[in-house]
Amino acid sequence: MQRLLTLRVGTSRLNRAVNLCQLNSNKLTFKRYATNGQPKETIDPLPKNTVKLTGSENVRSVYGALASATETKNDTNTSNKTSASQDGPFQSESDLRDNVLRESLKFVEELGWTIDAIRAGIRTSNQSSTIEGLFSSGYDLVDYFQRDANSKMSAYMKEQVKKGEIQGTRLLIDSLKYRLGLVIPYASTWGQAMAQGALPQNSMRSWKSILELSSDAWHGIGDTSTDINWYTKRLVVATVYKSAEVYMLQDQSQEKLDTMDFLERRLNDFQTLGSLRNTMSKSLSDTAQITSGIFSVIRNLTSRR
Amino acid sequence: MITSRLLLREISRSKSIRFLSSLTSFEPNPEQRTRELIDKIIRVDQAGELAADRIYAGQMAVLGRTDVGPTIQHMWDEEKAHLAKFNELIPKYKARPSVLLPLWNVAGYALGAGTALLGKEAAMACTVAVEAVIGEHYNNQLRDLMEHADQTKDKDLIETIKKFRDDENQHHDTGLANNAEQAPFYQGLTSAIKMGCRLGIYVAERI
Repeated sequence: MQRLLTLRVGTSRLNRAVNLCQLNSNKLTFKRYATNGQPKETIDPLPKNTVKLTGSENVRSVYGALASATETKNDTNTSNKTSASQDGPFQSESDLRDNVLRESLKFVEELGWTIDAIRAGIRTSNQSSTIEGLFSSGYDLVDYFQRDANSKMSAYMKEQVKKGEIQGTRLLIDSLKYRLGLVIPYASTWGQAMAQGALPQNSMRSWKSILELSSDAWHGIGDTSTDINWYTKRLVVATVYKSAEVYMLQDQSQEKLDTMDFLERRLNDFQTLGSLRNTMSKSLSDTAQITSGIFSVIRNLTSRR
Repeated sequence: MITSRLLLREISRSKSIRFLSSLTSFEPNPEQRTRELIDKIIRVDQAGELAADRIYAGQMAVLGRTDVGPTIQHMWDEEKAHLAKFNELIPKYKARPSVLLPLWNVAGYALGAGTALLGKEAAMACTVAVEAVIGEHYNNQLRDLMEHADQTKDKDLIETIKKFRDDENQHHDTGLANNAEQAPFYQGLTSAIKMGCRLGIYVAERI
């Protein structure tokens, strides 16, 4: 058995290892009598043991790591809880982001729509600088600004509807003017923001925000279209609004009055487009009539009654 | 062994996605996820009811004056009510209608008229196939809504879908009662239509 064990360990091993297995083999024989178990199993243990030794050490270290991880987890949990109880309700990640970005907007004038402006915002909102990991680029700031402005426009529209003075297309034009008015304070750097929105990595978010804008505008005036008009209406408003923003970039007039006029003119053009659409949808319903006529002819041909 | 490996891959993949998403943008909060779910549900249902409406319109164009005419007319009227309800829900939930509405419109009409031209049994087989898929689909949506939606706020939507599910199941049974199974190539026809419906649902949920 001893020989077998030494063979198993391998002749290339150090003497120490051989000694070790000799020592172990004594124990093994003892064990065999004691447990009255199968010899095959009792022969094996040396390599198993050594493996087990290192293995158990590994396991212990892993367990140790796990234990420490859970400990730290518990720690953070409790610290979260205490901070929550101190600072009022728990602050979610997105709220935290929005708060920082709101601060950062104050630095856009001098630093532009950049990660530097976000960093400045982090500093002034008394957050740790590691929070920077929550932001990927300066476009986060643009995105936040647009989301915020969209919701402001929705609130404005709700208010106007409640007042009930203006409605329909007039309200649509007014709200878009209001929305553009929110951008005017940032007009000097807005070109940079638009350029960032055109970058491939940001284009999805930029599209989403402009479509949300026009969607909010149409919902605000109580539009109920559920067919393909839903898309044409939103695309028209989105293009008109975007072109007005481009116009604004080079507008030198006082308070950007020219831009506002431009926006109004374009939207009036769109009303003429609306009447064109009506004639088109009429011709579409004609097509449906013609098709059902054709089917009645086929029915007569196949004489199914 | 294989399952454990698959599981491992699944876990590591989900982790990597999470990691990437945390770099670029943020996981939507639960409210937003519910909104997206409802948006998806209303979009696909509106498209589906529109297609169903067109299917019955196509069947009526061919079989309007036969003895099954009144039955089809009755089912068509119910589908019209369903469509009107979803048209009402779209602005309410600010959902986006499907881009491919014109396609669903034409495809529905062609399916209805095409099967009706094969005879009234085939028309009923078409009804059976479509309504079976739609009933099953409504049930899946109800499960999703029960799990994620706000039970008090979206009660109206859940009740609506429940009622419509029952209506569609009734149409399915009406189809079977009207000798749908005697249609030519019943098995092939229904499975082809079912597959088409499932594909339509998959696409309409997304665009």
